[in-house]
Amino acid sequence: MDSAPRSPAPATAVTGRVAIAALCVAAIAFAAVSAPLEVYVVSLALFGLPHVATELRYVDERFGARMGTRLARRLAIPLLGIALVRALAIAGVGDATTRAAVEWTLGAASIAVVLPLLASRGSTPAVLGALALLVAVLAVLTDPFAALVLFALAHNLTPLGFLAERLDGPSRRRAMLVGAVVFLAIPAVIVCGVASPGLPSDRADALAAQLASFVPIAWHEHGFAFDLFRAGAFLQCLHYAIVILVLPRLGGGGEASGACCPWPVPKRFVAWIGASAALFAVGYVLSFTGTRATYGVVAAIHAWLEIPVLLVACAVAPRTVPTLAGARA
Amino acid sequence: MSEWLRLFVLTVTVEVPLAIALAPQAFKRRIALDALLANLMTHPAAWFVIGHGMLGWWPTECAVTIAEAFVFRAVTGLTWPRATVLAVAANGVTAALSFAV
Repeated sequence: MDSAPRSPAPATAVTGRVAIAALCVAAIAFAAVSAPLEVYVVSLALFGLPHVATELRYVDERFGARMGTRLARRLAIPLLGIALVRALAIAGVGDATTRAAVEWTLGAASIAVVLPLLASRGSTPAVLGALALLVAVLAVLTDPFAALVLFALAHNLTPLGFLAERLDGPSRRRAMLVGAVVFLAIPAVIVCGVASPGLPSDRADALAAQLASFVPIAWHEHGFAFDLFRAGAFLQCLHYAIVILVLPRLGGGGEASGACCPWPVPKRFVAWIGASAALFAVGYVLSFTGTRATYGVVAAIHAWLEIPVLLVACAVAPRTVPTLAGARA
Repeated sequence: MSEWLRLFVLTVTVEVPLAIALAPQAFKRRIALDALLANLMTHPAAWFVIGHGMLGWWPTECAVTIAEAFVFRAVTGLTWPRATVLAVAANGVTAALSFAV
């Protein structure tokens, strides 16, 4: 496992950065609890698309070499199918449950594609892959639409997997400890409704209209529905923050040269995603539902891609690629 | 959903063995999975599109054939002529069967 790039920093500067990060997390938690709908909508409109592009780039640069071109292309088939299903949803074709069942079937296919690779690397990766496949099949057979909503909620936890894979030693332990607090403990407290303020009826109605983003329809009448949405809004912000601010700094390490896509240089990449995000932000102002559905096409691709990618990460160690500095030495 | 599943199973039961039979020896194992995945991508979309009258039967079949030929070329690694012949043959048989079933 590669070590993350580190630059020596004075202890006071590190303590200052940790304090600022803790304050930001507290502020996001407070905002998500008191104004969940606004936090969800604004963060989605401003950072939704940039986070998808950044995450796709990280996944390609970090895992592309391990997947190989043929496996990556094969994986692209069910992912394109998922994009097609989402595009059909924008056109209002088919009912939501059938579309969700088809999406889970294609998701199961994307897991099945990497199963032979997992099986060739030992029993543990094979069992993990089989379990993931079982979950997807159960989702198809039980309530695919509700499962899709829970999948969207659970997707916010993927930075934990990426950090666990990317870091090692004490920095990994620290990251997992902090990750457990901010990605699990704080959302758990929010779901419990310990500090949830009541909402005026007009805002409660507006929130109820967006509940399906994080809360399965069957749970909408439960008392914890709003609190689950609050936790989802909080997790979404943290997910965006880690993906946009932390993962690019870690980068793909020695794996980056094996990326499948020719990504632009960072400055041009940031300019492109900034321009696309601005365009989408305007779209959200004009039509939130339509732009959200369009965003759903690319969001679905990146979310489904990460399941087989994380499974492969459990099975295949990073290849050793000499860096430029290493080659000079 | 069950009607879609029945037709999907019927389609892959016909198309996958046909693709294996027509593929060159070195590609037979590879094309089995690729043909299944290609059908998994195209069949639900075609089902939705035809079912809701967005596109006619012929344009949809043509789009499906082009998509599957692209998969056989880009993923399986067949040449364009062979990928096209294979996609046309496989989809031609299932298209003909769709009139009978």
